[in-house]
Amino acid sequence: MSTSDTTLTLGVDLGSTAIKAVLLADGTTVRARRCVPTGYNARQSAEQLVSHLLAEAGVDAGDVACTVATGYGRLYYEAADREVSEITCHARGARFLVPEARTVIDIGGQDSKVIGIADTGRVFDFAMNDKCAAGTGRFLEVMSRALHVPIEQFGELAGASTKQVPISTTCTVFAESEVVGLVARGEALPDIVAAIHRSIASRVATLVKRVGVTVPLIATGGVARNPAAIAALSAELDHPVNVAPTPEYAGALGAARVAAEST
Amino acid sequence: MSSSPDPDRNFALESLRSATASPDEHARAWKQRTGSGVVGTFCSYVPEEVIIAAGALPFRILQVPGEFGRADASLQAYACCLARGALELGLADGLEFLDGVIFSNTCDTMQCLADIWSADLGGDGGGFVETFMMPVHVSHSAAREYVMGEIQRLIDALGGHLGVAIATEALSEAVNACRDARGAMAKLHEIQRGPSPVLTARQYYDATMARWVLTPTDYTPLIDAVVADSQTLERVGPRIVIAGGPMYAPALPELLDDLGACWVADDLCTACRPSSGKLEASQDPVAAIADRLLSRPPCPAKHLTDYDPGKAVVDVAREASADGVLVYRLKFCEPHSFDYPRVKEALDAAGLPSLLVEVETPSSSVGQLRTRLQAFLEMLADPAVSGARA
Amino acid sequence: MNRAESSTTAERDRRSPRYVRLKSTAQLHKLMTRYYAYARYMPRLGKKIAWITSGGPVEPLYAAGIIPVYPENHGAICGASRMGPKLAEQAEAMGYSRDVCSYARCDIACAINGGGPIGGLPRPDLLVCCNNICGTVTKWYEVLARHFKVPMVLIDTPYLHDGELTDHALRYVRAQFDDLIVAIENVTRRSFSERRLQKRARLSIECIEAWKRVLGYCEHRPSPISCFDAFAHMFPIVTLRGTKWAIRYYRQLEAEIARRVEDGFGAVPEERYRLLWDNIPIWYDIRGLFKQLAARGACLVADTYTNAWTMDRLDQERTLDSMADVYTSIFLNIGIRRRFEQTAKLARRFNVDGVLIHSNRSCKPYSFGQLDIQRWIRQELGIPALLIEADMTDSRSYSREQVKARLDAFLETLEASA
Repeated sequence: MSTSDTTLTLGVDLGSTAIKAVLLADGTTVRARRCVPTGYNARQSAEQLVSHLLAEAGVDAGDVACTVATGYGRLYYEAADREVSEITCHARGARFLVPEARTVIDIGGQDSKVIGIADTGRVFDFAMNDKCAAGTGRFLEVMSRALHVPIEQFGELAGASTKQVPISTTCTVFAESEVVGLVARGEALPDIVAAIHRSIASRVATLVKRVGVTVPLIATGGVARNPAAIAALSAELDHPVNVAPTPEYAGALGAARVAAEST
Repeated sequence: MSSSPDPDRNFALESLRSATASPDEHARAWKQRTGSGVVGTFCSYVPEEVIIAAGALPFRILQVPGEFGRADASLQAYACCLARGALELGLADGLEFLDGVIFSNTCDTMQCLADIWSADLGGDGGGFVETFMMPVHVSHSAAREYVMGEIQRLIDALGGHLGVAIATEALSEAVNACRDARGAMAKLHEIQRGPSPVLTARQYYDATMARWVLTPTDYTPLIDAVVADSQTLERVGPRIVIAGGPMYAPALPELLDDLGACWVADDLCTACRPSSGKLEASQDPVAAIADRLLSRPPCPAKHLTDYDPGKAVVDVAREASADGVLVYRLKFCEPHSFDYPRVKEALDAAGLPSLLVEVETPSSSVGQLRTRLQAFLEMLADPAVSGARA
Repeated sequence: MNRAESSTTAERDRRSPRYVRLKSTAQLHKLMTRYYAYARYMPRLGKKIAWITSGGPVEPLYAAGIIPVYPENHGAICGASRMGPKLAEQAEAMGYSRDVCSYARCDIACAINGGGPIGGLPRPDLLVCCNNICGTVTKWYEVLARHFKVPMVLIDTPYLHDGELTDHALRYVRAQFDDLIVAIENVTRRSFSERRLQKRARLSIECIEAWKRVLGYCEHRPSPISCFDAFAHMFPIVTLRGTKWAIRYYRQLEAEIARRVEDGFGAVPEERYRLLWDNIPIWYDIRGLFKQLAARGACLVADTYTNAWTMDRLDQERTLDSMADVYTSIFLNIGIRRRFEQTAKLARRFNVDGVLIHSNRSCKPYSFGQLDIQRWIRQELGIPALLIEADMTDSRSYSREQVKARLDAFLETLEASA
């Protein structure tokens, strides 16, 4: 049941790995949020996700004033009133979660992006890597499989590293061979995992430098939940990188905010 | 395809589109109709006037495939898609209608491709392979005499290959016809970059690309018709300038139309850049061609003393009152890549928002390209953007 | 790769013959140190510095007392000291694409940010760019010209597809040499001495002859030195050609190599296979490749890169005229079929059993055409040719494991057909 004087907006972020949705009241309060793997049919997954989300919040589809879709699959989500780029949405979402955010670093499952935000809150520049797995969550997945170590253990392992071993190639496929070689040469697992994080940090840092390092640096996206990746990134940039709360929802949140702004 | 006298605007736009959509069909039809030769080129510096004076159709090899299975056997993957695609097309026998090709020393990659082409495609049944060696040092005092020597060498060689004697009168006529075509384009560019642009991005693409397919005498009346009957676009979105290297697929212009932007001007070697420059008459056609080649806005692979590539792009953008600039380049293009930091610096200093669009092939990753363009246009639409740099 | 395989490789590496440095190497290092120190301190006494491309005509600079500095040599040092990736990243942060020449990326990063393996190069007063090696140098030097705000002289040498240098092309090149002289006079504020140029040309010719002799010793079986030695000892022919220092050094080097031949000393003791290398070396993995090859008795006895500095036809009388011809006709400025013919000549002269072709991501003009050359080598010379993908300076584009595996397989093919 919805309150008649509340404006509800919905943001749906159709990423290639996961779909996220956020229900926002009056553009300020998160009523509900939910996340599912994209699966092979993004549209279907998104429709199901949204209907569960609305049910959970006790709201009908008709109560939603405006829906904005963003992300890789945004063109397929027909129930949206508008589709807006993930750059705009991540910027809005990050600013909502961290009002002083100036540089947003989003490391997703298959892409990474950096957004420069002026002090007025507007986006003035951005850089995207959506062509190469290095510097994205995919890199960590590949390494996790190569090492037979679940990603969840990566943070702790990297923390135990005592020695810097190099991973010199930037290509994910070649890096995998290199990692196998490191294992064969008897390098310690924590050291290898630390090297993997330095590698991903290095790729992302290059992207950040293209836009410019302006503090505060705020990380969003799934990989932001990996403390070792964030620590490596901070070290690479020589600046602290803070993780936004509920980092994987920044895009969907921003989309809901954009929806609210247009009502 | 022949143009009717005084074509109207719609017919003109359709003809330009159809030429651009299937340049090879057009070339084959032309060959059958006239019985004359078709000569392939890879670079806007190859003097088309010489080819036309020989009675042949100049055919700029641009719309090449985006997969390189055959080409990979002879050219590594770190060559640009235009070079790889051209080789692929040649090896797939997609250019069998050509009597031969003329390479210019466009850049290191094309220079090597000329040799690879000779090795893999030249010789029996493969058509002739000629080279036209432009001076890189276009502002040097000795460049003019040198380039005239090269033009003469091309006249002799091409005449030999096609079995014709290229007379000075024929060359003068060709020079005049090309000058008329460039003049027509210049008028169209002037309108498009003014306050009332008349073409959608796709139409602009067709109009500029058709230049490389049609003879100047077929091309000029079509452009004249568009100019004469110009109707301002109903909605003029953000004014976008595209600067950079060859753009040979309509994916980007179509996205601009889809996203509501307006393509008002360009500095591309497949559109405006080769057509600008000195349009003076000259007694000696060889000298006229030389002067044109040396005075046109240079490709980044040419060297002009104290030339500032940043200023050049800013000038084009300012002249067109651009809201934003797309810096377009093919992945692995060294000349454009080296200029980029200076171009970006100049655009930033001029307060012109810009987006680098680097493509692996012009039709690939359209979804990702759309996201970037959309983000850029959303950024432009935010009123507080210009001057909002931290 | 499993544990068993890797331990065999490790064993083999341990069994691999030790790389024995030439004693002259100590002298070479002194020479390099002296040269860079000279370049760093002499400007305080009014000497001028010119940055010049590796294929550029250096003789006029020495004749005018200008100290030449070679950013490409600096690039090689960056590669050899494993600083390639770090410097390349700095250039990329400035907006330079990762796909452009890694020498240029490293050099531009050092020029603008300082740093690098030798603390950077001394500021140029003049830039001399000859594009006989590639068109990239023109763009690289344009960037340097904008940054340092000094004059840039371009000598454009039209590429000789069929090897024919036309009269009008020669005149064009020759005219640009005149501009070089004018630029030199402007920088030094002295008139240029033709006599001094002839003297330097004589010294150049002598140095080239000495270098040819050094490389020629590899005809012996076993070869007293390998290409890895040649890559190190090419520094004087590239940077000090035209000086007495270089000639003195090569005399010493020659004597040591001759002694090795007398003693029957081979760079690879049990030399079984003689190989030829094409393209610029992989500067950061020279030891690794030597070890892998030597373990199987393979020795690199010739290469197209060091042989590029064996130009003929420099004339000490008609110096500038002959230079216009000579500098236009170098290895990288001729069509690939002719390059293959020169490579084949080397292969025959040095009796090679196979060819290693470095497909160098950073050097398009040297690499494009290699696939045809590889085919011709197989078909016309009847010997195997292996393609190795890497980058000369930027190790991020190098997969040691992949290359190791390929090279092992190649060496096994040689063994099998022996």
